[in-house]
Amino acid sequence: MTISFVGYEADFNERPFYSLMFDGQKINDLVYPAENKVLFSINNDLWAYLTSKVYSNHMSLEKAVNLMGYITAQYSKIFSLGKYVNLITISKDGLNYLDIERIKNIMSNAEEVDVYICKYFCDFFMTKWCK
Amino acid sequence: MTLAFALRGTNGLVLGADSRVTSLEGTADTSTKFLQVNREVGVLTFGMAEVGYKAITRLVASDFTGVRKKRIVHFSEIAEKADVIFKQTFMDWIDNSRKNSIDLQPTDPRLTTGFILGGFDLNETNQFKILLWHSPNFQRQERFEIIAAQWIISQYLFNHLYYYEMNVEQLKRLAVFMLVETEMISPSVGGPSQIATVTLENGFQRLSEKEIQDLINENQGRFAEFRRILLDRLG
Repeated sequence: MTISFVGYEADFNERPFYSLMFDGQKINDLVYPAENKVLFSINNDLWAYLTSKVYSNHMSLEKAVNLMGYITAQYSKIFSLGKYVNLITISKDGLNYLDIERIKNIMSNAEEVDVYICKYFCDFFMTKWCK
Repeated sequence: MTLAFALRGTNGLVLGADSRVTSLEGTADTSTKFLQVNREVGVLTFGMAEVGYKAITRLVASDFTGVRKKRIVHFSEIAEKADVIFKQTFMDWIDNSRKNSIDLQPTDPRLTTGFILGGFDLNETNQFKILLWHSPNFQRQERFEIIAAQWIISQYLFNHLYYYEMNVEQLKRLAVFMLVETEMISPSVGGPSQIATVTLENGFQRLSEKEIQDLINENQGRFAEFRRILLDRLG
């Protein structure tokens, strides 16, 4: 059974920031497994909001990674965070840093989702909206 | 904390806030977070409820309002008065706390207090204006829109659902959407929503509880559809 690990760490000084994935734990309570260090979070409300809509314990690691990439992209946009992103997963195969190409694809997918959402909901608050 | 915002549309502004106040004793949904200053202007507060409410009440009660002196009051005059009142009320509260042997610094993030003044400047610029003041310096800032306090979920929604051409009717629905979605996650946001519009024809108008409930009911399909699309694309 795959365990996915959702978490967040941010650094304001243009250094890479990390998105980790951990199943079912609050961000502020997370401990980075390799270094036994508490993760810092700016504000986990948006993470909680998006995962409440989408995330489930039954989600595959692949989908959880894509979701985390999307959430990471939103934090990056809103807080103008560091240029570089690391995505890390923990599974029964161990700790795994995703390679740059995979991260680029995930972030590119996140951007496509964003554009889709903006287009789909462009008339969301019109009186006669009905899909 | 709270959620407070001022949104700009093509034909006016929408001001909104929740009514929850959080203290060591717990939460209560009893806080009045915005008041009408005059026909075209409203003021909101976020952060420390006691200080915020005292400051906006002082602003509204100030003798420049024109109701007692029967003169035209410029938006800029209200803003200048607000510059003084907001900072003074906050610092008075800090000083009183120190007299009671509680050592507090204005920069303490737990004491964050802010104010939003939104309205139509009828007499000078003929424009809708949104101004922000924030502790500890209370430096006045003019903004196109403001989402403050527990703002991050609303900022995400605003980034994806708002566009400049929206009118006040659409913004009212967006305002309710933002408040409900934020309340769902953030325990410090909740209680009856407080929403007002500022338009040329009607000035400052507070929405009734029934109007807000009607907007929440109208938004039910939108809540469901938003969730469905997120699940479809990300789940």
